[in-house]
Amino acid sequence: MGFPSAPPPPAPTRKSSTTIIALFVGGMLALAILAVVFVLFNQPKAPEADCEPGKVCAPQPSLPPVPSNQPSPLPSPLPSVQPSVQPSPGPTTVPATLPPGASATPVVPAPTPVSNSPIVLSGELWQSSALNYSFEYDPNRWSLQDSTDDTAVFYSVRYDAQLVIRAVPAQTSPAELIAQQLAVVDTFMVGRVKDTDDYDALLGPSIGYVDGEGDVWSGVVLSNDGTPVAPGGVTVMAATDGRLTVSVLVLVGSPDAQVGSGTQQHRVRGQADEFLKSFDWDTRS
Amino acid sequence: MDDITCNQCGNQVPRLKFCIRCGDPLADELAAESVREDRRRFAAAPDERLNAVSLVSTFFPQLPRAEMRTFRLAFAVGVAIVVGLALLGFYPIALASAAVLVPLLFVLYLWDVDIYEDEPRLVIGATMLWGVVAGVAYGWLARGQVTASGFGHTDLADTLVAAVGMPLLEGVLMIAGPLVLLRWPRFNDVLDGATFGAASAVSFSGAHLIVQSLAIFSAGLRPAGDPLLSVIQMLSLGVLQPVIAAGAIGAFAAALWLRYRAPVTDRHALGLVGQPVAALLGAAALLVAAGLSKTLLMLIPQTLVLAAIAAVALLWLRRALHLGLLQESREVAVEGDMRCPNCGLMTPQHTFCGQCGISLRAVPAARRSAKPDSAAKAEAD
Repeated sequence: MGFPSAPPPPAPTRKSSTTIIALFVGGMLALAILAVVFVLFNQPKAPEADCEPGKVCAPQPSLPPVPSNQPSPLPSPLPSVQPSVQPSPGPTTVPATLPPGASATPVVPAPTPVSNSPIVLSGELWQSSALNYSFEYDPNRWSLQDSTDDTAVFYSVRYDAQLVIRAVPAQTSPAELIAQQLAVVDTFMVGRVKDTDDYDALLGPSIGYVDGEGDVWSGVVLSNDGTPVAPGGVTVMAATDGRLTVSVLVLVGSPDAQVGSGTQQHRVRGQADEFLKSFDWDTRS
Repeated sequence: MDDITCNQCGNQVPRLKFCIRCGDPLADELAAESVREDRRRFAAAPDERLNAVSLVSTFFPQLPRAEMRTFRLAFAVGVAIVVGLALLGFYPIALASAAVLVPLLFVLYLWDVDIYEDEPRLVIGATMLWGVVAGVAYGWLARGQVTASGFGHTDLADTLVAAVGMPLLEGVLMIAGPLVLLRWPRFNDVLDGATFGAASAVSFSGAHLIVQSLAIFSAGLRPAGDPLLSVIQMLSLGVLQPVIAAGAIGAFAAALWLRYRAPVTDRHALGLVGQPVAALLGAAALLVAAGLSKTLLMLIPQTLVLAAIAAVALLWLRRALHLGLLQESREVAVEGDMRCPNCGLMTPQHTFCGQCGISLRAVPAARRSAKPDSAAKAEAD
């Protein structure tokens, strides 16, 4: 004989079960409604389009219009600084037909000029001596946090954002490198899914003028104690020149937060352009 | 009424269905008095085994059996609400609901059982308020000190701060409020300490989660994210982590109350569980283990580890409550009959009801002290 099979009826409770359940569900719903109101009150505004749909969109003139009775402004003089490197001549071709009496003269191609001028830098130069690639960045916008021969990690000075450039030998394809980088992202981002918003689309991904592939993702960023702290946006692209495969990843916290007329993610991606445009795939050449 | 030897506690007790000293069912003793069977039943819920992982009977030990069913249902409904919201993609709302799930149940429990109806209600309210205030302060601190994860070199110092330092700070803040109440002799039950500790811990957990995640609430109603992973995360944030905090802090507080509020002769009777230093180390170990898993593991393995830690925390709190209740029962002499607030039948006034086995110390003080009326006496006779 074990535990009594028919325990005595319990004493009347102070509050009925229905009351307890109703109060609990009501409390949960009330707090949920409060949260909805708070979220709606604080949700980011939709970014403003630079151009109105259906209308010709051109940049506004930066100068006031010139009255028609005034002379046209003179073209600004060319810079007095002479370029140190002469432009290379275009390809020399022999005409298909010679004028009568003319003799064909062999054309000797001009040697490619070699520049001895220092590299023009628009920012700070980061260079990998092992893999021989480099890029420039603006130290007023980006702070270098971690650097190895194959990877450089930057934090945005102004925004909640991180930029990671990684290079590996070309045996790794761009898609594989992107997958590796996203696997790292998954250690601190929960619920990562593709961002299908047209506004966030990555158009014509390229690194150092080499076309590549890439995508945009969204999720929730965790703090290093595991607590969810902010929504996150990840833009990742990769390209290869046959020697190296390089990925550039931009991680933005609260990507849809409004900054000016756009979003924080757009602003940070705009600032990341300097990395892409200044990227030199082979510093030995 | 002749006596029988209770196999559980070894005392001579009246021949009723349950031992009035330890609450153990006496059915086996009555059937075969020579048979001794070690059936370990939870003192606050005799229909459950001591080593069962049961959230409601452990967190809410003063609930009569019928109301435990109600609270189990409420808890299930709350979990369903959180899961549903997460599945529908309403991440911020699911997060807010997860943060208040266990604290709201705790408030309802305290309101329902009126544990301190003869005491200022401010006591328990202040304990929970302390948890909220400390949780908000900790949340703001964590927003500044605990950096968001990301790429780059993993700094050992940062990891130690996040996985060890911050959980220990959480523990200090959660126990600080209940410690103030330890000075008051009128809160002299182990259950008091466990209730104060658990109340402070769950309110702290909810408050700091909301504050630390405030940026989530500025991302719109349905930010992008995989809903299935969100569900797992919400269960971790809304159930497992509050349970770990409440289990660790509640058990530590119970040990403190046993050590400083129990009779001198009982202070070492519980072994390690009743030693404040050992309990302190145990609570710290649970919090740090949870911190390490949150810092080092990805969501799914992390959730599995947290579930195991939560089970250990629950079992520890349950054992501390059980042993505390048994220990206290030895100090009480039988003082006539009373009507059991749980089953409504008459029982000798001691620690456990002889009819249904509930711990009479685990029911509100007002109900426990009710005097039997004449009808009840007649029924008993």
